[in-house]
Amino acid sequence: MQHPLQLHSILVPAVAIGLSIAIFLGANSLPSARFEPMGPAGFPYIASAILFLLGVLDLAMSIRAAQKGQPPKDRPTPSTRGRVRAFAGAVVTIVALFLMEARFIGFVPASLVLLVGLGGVLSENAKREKLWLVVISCAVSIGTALLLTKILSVVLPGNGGFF
Amino acid sequence: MTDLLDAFGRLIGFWPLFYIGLGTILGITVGAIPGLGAAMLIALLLPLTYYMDSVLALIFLVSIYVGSVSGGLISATLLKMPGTPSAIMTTMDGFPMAKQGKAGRALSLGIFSSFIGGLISWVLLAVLSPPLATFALKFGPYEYFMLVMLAFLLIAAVSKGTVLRGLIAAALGVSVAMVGPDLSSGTLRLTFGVEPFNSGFRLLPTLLGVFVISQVIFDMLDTSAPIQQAKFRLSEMFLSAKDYTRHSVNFLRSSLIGTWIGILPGVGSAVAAIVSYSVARNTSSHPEKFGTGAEEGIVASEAANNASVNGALIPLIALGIPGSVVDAILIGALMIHNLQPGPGLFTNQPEIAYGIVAAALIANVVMFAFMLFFSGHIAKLCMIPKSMILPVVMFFCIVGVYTATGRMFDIRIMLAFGLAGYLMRLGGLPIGAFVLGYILAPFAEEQLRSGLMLYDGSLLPMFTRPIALLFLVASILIAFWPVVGPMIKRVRR
Amino acid sequence: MNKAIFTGCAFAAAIATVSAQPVFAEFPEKPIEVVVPFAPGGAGDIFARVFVNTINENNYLSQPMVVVNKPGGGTTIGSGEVKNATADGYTILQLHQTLITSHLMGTSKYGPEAFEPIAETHHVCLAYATTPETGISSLADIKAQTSAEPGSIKEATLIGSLVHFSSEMMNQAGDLGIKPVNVGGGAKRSASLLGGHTDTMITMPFAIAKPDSGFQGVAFLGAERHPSLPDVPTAKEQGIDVEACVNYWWFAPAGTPDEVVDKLAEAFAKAAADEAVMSDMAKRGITIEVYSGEELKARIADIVADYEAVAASMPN
Repeated sequence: MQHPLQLHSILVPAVAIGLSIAIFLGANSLPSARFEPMGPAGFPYIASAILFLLGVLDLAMSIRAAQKGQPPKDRPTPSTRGRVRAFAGAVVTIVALFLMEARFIGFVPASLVLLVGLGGVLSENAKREKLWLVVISCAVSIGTALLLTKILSVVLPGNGGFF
Repeated sequence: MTDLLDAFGRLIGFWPLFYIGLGTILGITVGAIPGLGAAMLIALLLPLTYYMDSVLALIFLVSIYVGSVSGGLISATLLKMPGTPSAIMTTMDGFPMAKQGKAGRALSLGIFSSFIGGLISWVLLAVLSPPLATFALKFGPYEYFMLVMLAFLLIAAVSKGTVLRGLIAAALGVSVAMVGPDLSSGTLRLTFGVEPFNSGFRLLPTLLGVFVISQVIFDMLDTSAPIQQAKFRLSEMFLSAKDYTRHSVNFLRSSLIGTWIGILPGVGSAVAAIVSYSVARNTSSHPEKFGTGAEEGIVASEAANNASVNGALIPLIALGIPGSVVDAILIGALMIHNLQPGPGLFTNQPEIAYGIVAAALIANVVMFAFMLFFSGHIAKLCMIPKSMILPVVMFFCIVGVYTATGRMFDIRIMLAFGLAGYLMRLGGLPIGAFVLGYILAPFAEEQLRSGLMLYDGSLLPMFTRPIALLFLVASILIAFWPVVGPMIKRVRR
Repeated sequence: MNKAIFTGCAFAAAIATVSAQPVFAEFPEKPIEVVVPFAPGGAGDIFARVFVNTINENNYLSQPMVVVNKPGGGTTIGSGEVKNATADGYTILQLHQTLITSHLMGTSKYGPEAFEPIAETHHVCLAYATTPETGISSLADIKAQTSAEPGSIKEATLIGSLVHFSSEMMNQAGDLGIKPVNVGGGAKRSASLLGGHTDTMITMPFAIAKPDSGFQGVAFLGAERHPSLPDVPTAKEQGIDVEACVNYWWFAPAGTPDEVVDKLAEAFAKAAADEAVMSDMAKRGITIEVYSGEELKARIADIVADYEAVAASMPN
């Protein structure tokens, strides 16, 4: 009985082959060697060739494994709650980073958005946990900001200041 | 010898011990937090040390370095996130062991291996620095290139998954490393017109992304309960005599590998750990156990990475040549205080040279004592709910990247690599191989091109120069050992 | 409990805000960022910090200067940032001839003309070195060896860098026939020579001055012999009229107002005249010589012309 090819069995070699073509094209536009026998294009060509070979080999072996009827590896699929959490976490992170880069808000509030936001997404609804979350977030963000600016002279992102 | 004893004598005092202690503990802390690392901390503290006494400044920075390489094992074991690149391989077996309820055992193995690795390499540092460094000088471009080929051949069996997937992961790492300015000519490569790519994918965002952020993604998706930790007592943390005999070969071999890789410039502790782990797995009688909680894996990784710290100090002190990125910063520390690193350091400034050597040993001891006694409390970290650990880790990763590169774009790169790392793990592409390819590719290319210039375009010296040939033979042997080894055993019977 | 936490956070926030910098009426009104496009601890970084620290300690400017390391791209990341920064004097650059070589090698799209030079505070001329094993003791020895065996003398260099350009200046002027091999930065070049892989290299005088350094000087590329290398004849003395140095310049973005540039130049000049700075730099073998204004622009233009001449004769 033939097991269907799993997604990753095709995707991985496809990515490898696709990338190898991209690298080959990228290497074509590179200047030739100037002071040396092998110029900047040498290694990319070599890497492209190896990646292509490996991709083709992998595809061949995946097809052979599927034809032989080897059972696919057992991979745990994430629960819906997990997926929602991860998505929410991603949104919070992107928003917080956007805020950090923006000139109208400073480092500490943006960090708090990140810390409290992510914590809120992940927390299990225990009141005490949420309290500690806020305390630790304040401590960590303000402490780090102080350390970076006062002791280590690093310029903070965004508007450059605390707030 | 008397110089060394004098140096120890000078370090037994309040301020030297204070700085060694502070440095080691800072290093362990920074090493344990994913996102922060020794390179960042030392680079940031460097200007402050300008005002300190030169010996104190150097032993402080060296202690931070020693501490950080060990601290990485804590988060590697408890969170599956390496706190520093040196602990990348410790996650492979440390975390599965912790999940099985043996976190204490995993930690103690890591701590003892770190200590022993540090000790063995220290003996080499103290006794054989000049001859070892001089021998390392004989390594020309083709010798280094062959060494890298050896490492790549070892990649194939780095972790679970097929040999082929391991090589693909390594090739992906190589490709990622090629984006950006070419080291030798400065030409921009593979940027496809995207301007922020003009500086390439830097080490910190890439490594943090594929190791830490990808794990954060896994943890967010995973709604099962955190690790349950059985209580353990301090007395259980010590290794038994049987442990010492069982792992003796591993201790010695890993320390030697680590020391040697540390001596080679531009390679670093992560590579030392990866190579040592691969050799341990390839020569083990139970290679299939690696990645499921094999004690040998933790021993190999942790002994090697600590050994590489002292190994990297060898060329630094003997020749003034940095063995790693952190050592380059240490050379800066020497130069700030107007000390000329170079072969003359031992004769012109013995108190500095031997001071560093003595401090390295004391820091190793402090690291061991601190981590051992606080391991019980450290292990409790895995009881902290995800809702607090993950946001803090994410925060420090962002801060760490921004402090290192100064660009918000690199933070986005880190997140992108986080996603990529997650997908790679799903696709069975071992991340250790990816990292090896990424770290070693620029080095290998540089050496190959330099060698071609040196030998007027000829590749022949790769096979005629004795050391290069030796590596070629060694790599073939090690790569085929899983096949050859059992055959030899069968012939013997 | 909630109230306590909120108050605590608010209190901490208040402290942070209060410690922010007050505002003055004229330049500088806030800290000045000095971009050093090298990694911390490198030679250029250290020298820059010597000056910045002196300016801060003596308050030659009413606001502190902060050194920010922005390594990468062979200094183009740091220099690019300053080039695109607002021309108000709050972001300045510390760099040397690498600004010129990056442009000539095509790594960057701009050279010194994209900036407003503030001052040159110090420079160090380069030394041409070898190891005792090679048996080379003068430039004439090199010429003799390469005439007998073309391509036999290999030099460890960093292709495209000011070190490479300086070597090529000497190579071409004296028709020495040296073959460059790309090895890397100073430490790697030293290792290459000590290991017997290459024969010569260009380096800073302080790297070969001490007796146990393992190196010996063949020529010094300055106007006169370097005080720390009294036995090393200059290239001029050996018949090759070449001077190759590393000149450390401070740049502001093009279009920075003259008053701002003058104020900064004044601060640097004062720092250069400081006793502690002079003795520190002297110990490192660095010469302090201050240039600014039109004289500086002419000096830079001369150096650019020299480098362009070298670039024109390089292989394509």
